[in-house]
Amino acid sequence: MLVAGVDVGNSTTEVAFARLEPGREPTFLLVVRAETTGAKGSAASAVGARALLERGARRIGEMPRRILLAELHPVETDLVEERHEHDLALGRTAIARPGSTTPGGAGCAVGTLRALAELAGEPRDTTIAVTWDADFDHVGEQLRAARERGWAITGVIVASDDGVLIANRFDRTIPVVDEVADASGLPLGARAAIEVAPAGDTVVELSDPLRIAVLLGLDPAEARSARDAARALAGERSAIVVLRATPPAATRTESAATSAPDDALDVFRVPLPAPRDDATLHLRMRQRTVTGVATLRAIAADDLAGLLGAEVVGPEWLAATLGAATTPGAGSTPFVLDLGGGTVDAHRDGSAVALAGAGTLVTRICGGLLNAPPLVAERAKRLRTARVETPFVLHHEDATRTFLTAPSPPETVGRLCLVEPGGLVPLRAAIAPEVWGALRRDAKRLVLGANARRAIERIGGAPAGELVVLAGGCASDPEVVAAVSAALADLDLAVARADVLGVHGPRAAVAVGLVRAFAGRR
Amino acid sequence: MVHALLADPDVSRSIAAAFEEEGVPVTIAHEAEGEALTLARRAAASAPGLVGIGADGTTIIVVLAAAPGRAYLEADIADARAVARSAARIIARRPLVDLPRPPVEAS
Repeated sequence: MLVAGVDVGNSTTEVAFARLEPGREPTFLLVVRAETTGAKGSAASAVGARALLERGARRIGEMPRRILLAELHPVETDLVEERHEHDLALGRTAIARPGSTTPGGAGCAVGTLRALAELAGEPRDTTIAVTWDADFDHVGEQLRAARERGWAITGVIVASDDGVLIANRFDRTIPVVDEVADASGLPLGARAAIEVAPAGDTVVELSDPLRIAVLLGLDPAEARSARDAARALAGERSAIVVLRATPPAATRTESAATSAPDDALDVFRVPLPAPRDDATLHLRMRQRTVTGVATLRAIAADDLAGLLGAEVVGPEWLAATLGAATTPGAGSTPFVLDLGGGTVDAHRDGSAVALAGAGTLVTRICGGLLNAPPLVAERAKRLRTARVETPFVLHHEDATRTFLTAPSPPETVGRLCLVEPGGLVPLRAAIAPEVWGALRRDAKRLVLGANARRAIERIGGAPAGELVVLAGGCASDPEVVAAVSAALADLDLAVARADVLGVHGPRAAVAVGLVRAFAGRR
Repeated sequence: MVHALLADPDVSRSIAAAFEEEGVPVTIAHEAEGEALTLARRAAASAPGLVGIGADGTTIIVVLAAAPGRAYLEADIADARAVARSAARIIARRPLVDLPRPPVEAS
């Protein structure tokens, strides 16, 4: 008799097909997998499960006579990013923004913003010249002429990528911040401070709220409100801060922290990881918090059973432990940690717990760190990266270099890239490979390591020396296995990755276990 | 670090400006004639940074000495400054930005 065990997870649905004969172990024929369509246990999820059943049946050439499900306790997970950098309360500093990485000149300057054309008139107070003129020779000539007429020009803001060219033609001892695309929109007449750090260095004056206050004449109370401006500029080579003409009416406008729903079973909060040895990057990362919220949904698995014409053969913990036990060398597996997309589930004989925050939260954190969309973040979570130093040299996360036989595409040069099987995919973030690798592993430790620990504790602990088998999609990632092993190290457990039926790795434990549970009952 | 051989003297200022802005040394020489790809290959072969630029009246090309078979960057001569900036950034190991699209070949 052909049967199919169906595991509808929060992220993935898996179906294991097997042939049963009386008195014999099931013969497993096929495991198929697809993304879950809709919420686990919902009618929408049944549509995807049905399609997957039919896909498998077509490959085998026969529809299963029995469809097997576990008792479901569906858990819906939601992720909320509590605070963005856009929420910065700048106080009286109307604009605080980094400039380009190739500015001209050096130093810090304060003055009134004035358009270059205005410098043709009578000299006035100390001035930061603003220009969107495309010709650097012409700009240099006008600045020199203005200074000769008596203008005190302390710095220059340029729309184009001409900072070095203008500094070389005017004055290399003052800061020239370039690539300010909306230079023509800056509030002329406002007081501003600009800074250019020497090559390889970062701004020191404009990353300090008290220095901003002194430079722009803020009182001590306003100096405190300049902290967000200072933090936003930390780590930059060049920067601009412009003073608002009048103090803002509202004070701090930070978004309210997201509160968990009343029926939330579990709430898991985690900040973006930050590099330990880079204080400025650390400060900027700490401005954001990502929160995972899990809510128990009142949708019974029987609904799904009705929709699929399936029968419920037992609890999920039983299926998970029976499926994981097919791992070669395991014998029995009394403790299974299922590291899924939405939740970390711990299964043991007689019970199970589900905790919010798993693979999807790690993906979200990776996306936040890299400023990358979800699809890229999902790949960045698993793949190694390398920086393309030159078209022929890759700098890897372990600081080694390899050489390419053909040049890397121009869009990858100088960038951190995902090392995909089909080639290099450039990322936007300017992070060294070693730093990114450490952040990625930190994200896994903070989410999956921490939740694995919480799950083992919630389930009542595990005796020293006991085998804990890791199942689920996340367990196919060796970094996750390492993170979980480290999180449980002091409990002296044998943490191992499931290899369901010796061929499926950590996937399909529940689907295979359902078949085994059904076969054992007959 | 980079050599540029130009059959079009008008782009000399754009190329020099791009390298000055990036702080990368360049030597510029003029040729009476020649196609951009040929000039770029010759320039790359003699450049200490193994990157060469060639330009004729219509096209600007960057060739890497280690892969001289084809243009690494190619654009209309109107984009000479952007292409030169990218050539400088290869040497400076900075990301190449605003990469110009190669000219569309007539079918």
